[in-house]
Amino acid sequence: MIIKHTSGRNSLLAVAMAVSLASCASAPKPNPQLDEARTIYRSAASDSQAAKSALVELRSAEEALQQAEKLQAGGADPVEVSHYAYLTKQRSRIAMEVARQAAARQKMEDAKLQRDRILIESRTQEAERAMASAEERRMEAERARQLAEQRLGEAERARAEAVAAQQRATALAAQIEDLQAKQTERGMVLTLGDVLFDTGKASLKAGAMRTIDKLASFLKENPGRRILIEGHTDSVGSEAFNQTLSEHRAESVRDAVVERGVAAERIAIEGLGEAYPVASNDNAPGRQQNRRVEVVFSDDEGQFKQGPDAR
Amino acid sequence: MTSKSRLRTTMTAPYVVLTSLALGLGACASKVPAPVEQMATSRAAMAQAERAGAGEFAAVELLAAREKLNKAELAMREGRNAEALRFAEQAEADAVLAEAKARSSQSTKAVEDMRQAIETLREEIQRKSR
Repeated sequence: MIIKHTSGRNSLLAVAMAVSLASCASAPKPNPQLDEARTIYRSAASDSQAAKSALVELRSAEEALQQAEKLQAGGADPVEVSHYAYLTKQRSRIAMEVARQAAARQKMEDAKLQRDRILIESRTQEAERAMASAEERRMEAERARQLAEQRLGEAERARAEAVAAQQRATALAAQIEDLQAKQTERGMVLTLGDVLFDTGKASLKAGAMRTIDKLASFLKENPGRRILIEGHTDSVGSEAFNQTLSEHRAESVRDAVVERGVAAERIAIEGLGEAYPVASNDNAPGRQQNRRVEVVFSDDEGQFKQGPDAR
Repeated sequence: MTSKSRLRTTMTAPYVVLTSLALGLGACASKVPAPVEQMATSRAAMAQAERAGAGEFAAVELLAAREKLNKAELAMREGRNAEALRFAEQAEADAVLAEAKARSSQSTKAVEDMRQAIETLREEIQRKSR
């Protein structure tokens, strides 16, 4: 502002007066910057987060606004009013940024709590899974142990069975030995010689009973086996006679065995007459050999190596 | 702001004239001392804003502060002390705003990162528990 020098006291006074009035007492004109400052301040002051965490900054903005209002009301230099309006705006913004930061800090705290909860939960689950898995392994080991035990038991039983079978085989061999039966291609065959029968008759002599006893007890001890009893003669006499005799001799043996408690269904008989000599009929020893009863044994399952009618 | 103008209407006319003249000169001529202290305060606020990362997160505000600080220096050199004081005060406000904005932006970003991390953690746990 420049004050011109003029001659005359009154002129100087007038100018000074005018200058003073112009600079300091002009009527307040609306200041758009002040309007803007008011708006921004109101917005910051009504922010609840700012009211909580930016009180100092809000107070400082308010002071600047009051100063701006006072200057405006007093008709001060608009530059001064705008200056305080600017300070009001920036301080209001500062308050809002401070509030924003406080809100972010709070959110960060919440997020950390959330993260910790998740981590704890996750570790708990992991521990539970580990325990479950350990339990599973324990049970698996237990199952394996039981299986091994079972196998061992089976092996033991198989061994025992093998031993028993061996013993049965041994016993059978002893019994067969005792019966004086022979292994032939038809299976086991016991031959009852002519001397056990009354001459030319079907009845058994007393001396045959020991052999019949053994045969019956063998059949009782081996209940799976069946027998085929075959009667044979030499060629002396009529064929019809020989046929009948052979049948009767086979029946006699069967009856004696059944008498000793062996089921008749297990026994088949057949009279074969003179058809199957085992020696020559031309001499006495040969003929005696041909007069015989043969007992053919089935296996343990009741099967004959050749059927009863295989001949 | 220190310069204050008051009209006292109760005074008699000649005094009014003289007083007005004195006050007018006081308000408009450079009776304001050089704002050395405010300049130091504003510079400190600038430095603090820069340390807080305002160069990255509040570049506009930081630039405004720097420009006003330069204008304040120039005005002070030329003896326009009242103007220098205004620029210095505004520079301080700009710098403090830049700092506050930088801090709040970083805090907001940190929250975002944390949420992202939590999401990743959740997915990982979900994957593991399957």
